[in-house]
Amino acid sequence: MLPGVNTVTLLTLLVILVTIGLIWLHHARALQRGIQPQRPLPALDALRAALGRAAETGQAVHLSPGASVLGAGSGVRSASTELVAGLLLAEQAASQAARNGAPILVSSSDVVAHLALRGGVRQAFHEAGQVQDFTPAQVQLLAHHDELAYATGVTTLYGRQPLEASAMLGGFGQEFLLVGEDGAQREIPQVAGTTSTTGLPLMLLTTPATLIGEEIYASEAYLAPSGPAQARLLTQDVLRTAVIALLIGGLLYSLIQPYLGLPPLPEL
Amino acid sequence: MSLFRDPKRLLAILIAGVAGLIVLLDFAGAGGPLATLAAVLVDWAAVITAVGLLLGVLSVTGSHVQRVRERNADWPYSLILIAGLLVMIVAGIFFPLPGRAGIVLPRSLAEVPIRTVFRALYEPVAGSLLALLAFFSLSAALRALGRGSAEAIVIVSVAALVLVAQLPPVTALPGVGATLQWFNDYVALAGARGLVIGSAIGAFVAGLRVLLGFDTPYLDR
Repeated sequence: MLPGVNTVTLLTLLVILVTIGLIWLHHARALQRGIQPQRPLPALDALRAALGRAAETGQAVHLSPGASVLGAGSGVRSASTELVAGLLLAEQAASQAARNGAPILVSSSDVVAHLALRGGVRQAFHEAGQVQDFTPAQVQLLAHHDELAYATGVTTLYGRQPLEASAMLGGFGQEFLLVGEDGAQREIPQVAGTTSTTGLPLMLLTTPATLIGEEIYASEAYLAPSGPAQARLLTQDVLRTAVIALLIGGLLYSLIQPYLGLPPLPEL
Repeated sequence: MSLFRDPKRLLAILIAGVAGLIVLLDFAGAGGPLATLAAVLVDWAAVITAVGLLLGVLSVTGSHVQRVRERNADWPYSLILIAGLLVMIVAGIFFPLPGRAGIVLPRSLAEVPIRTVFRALYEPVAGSLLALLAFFSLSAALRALGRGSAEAIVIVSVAALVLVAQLPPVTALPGVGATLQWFNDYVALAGARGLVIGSAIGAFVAGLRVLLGFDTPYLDR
């Protein structure tokens, strides 16, 4: 073995290579034939319906990619991939809103995410041929690296104008309750989702339209008609099946290993 | 459109992908020159974030100046925000502090003027908001029970059970402490790990797709 390269590094590289192969395979398949999502996600029906209603009522749909930040920092909760999932979903919802003529209001709590959202939302309106409907004020930076400040900022948005719905999918913790409860009291339909074990129970208490854990990574595929989003979902499902098979296999092996005198599983 | 017909986009995807892969390989323990390169890239990311922060401050200031100028609803709050922003920036950079060789300027945001304002103003407000969560969770629990949602009923029941079981007289009962510990170590931990594994797979695929250029949330399409 090469110096400095241990078993964990090799295994990591192997998993990365296999996953890259799967991503390419599914991407090509999705572009050629198209893939339909098979599991229902009822929470997203509420968002789709709100985007439809907003075009008629003229009330904005609030979109948030979460209160987390890009990159790690001391004392700051980092959930970059959750934020990326939230960004992709917000951009997808913005595309639908632009096509429907529905007003949207996008907020974020990270400057880099804010800049990405400004570009993404503007581009969504541009692609839909509705660039005149986009104003920079539709994308607001409410705080930076401060979940509580962001939560209070969103409650201010709730109080300032009537909203058709609010979709908050990404990194949220206990601060979600400040927003979620305020929204519930104002009877704003809310769609929420996170992977945080602190935020999830509070979301389930606040709104029935909750996406649990990895569902936030799958949600773009349910909104997007495009193949790439569907391909991501398929790769996730294959990996999840492989992990479940590994866990069950490992459990069975550990049960029979002492009786058959087999070597124990290696500890990584 | 093919990537090769759009060199600007291809270049951006290549830069993002190669930079991301270098940091990923360093994280996996590749070491050597890759580690040095990854450290440089992470430093650059910090600089880009700082520039982003500056743009964000300008965007927020512009938006609130416009609100004040147009006398929109709640414009006095915008004025307070702008004043607060200016005071913090000026105090954080130009507040004179006693040094060994005379008066010196603050070296970081953790120095006295900013720290004092944070302790005096921000921390009590943040603490109050956190304290509000107790009441908000009670109100949310009652509403969820009224809605009759199965998940909410399970969450509220388990929360109530755990609260009661942690009372000193109840914990003293034989078997209660051990049962709670067993639930924590096996049932709760298994659920949390299931959630973490599922999320990690989602995050892993989402991250790799960004690195490979299939998803480009950083790019104008």
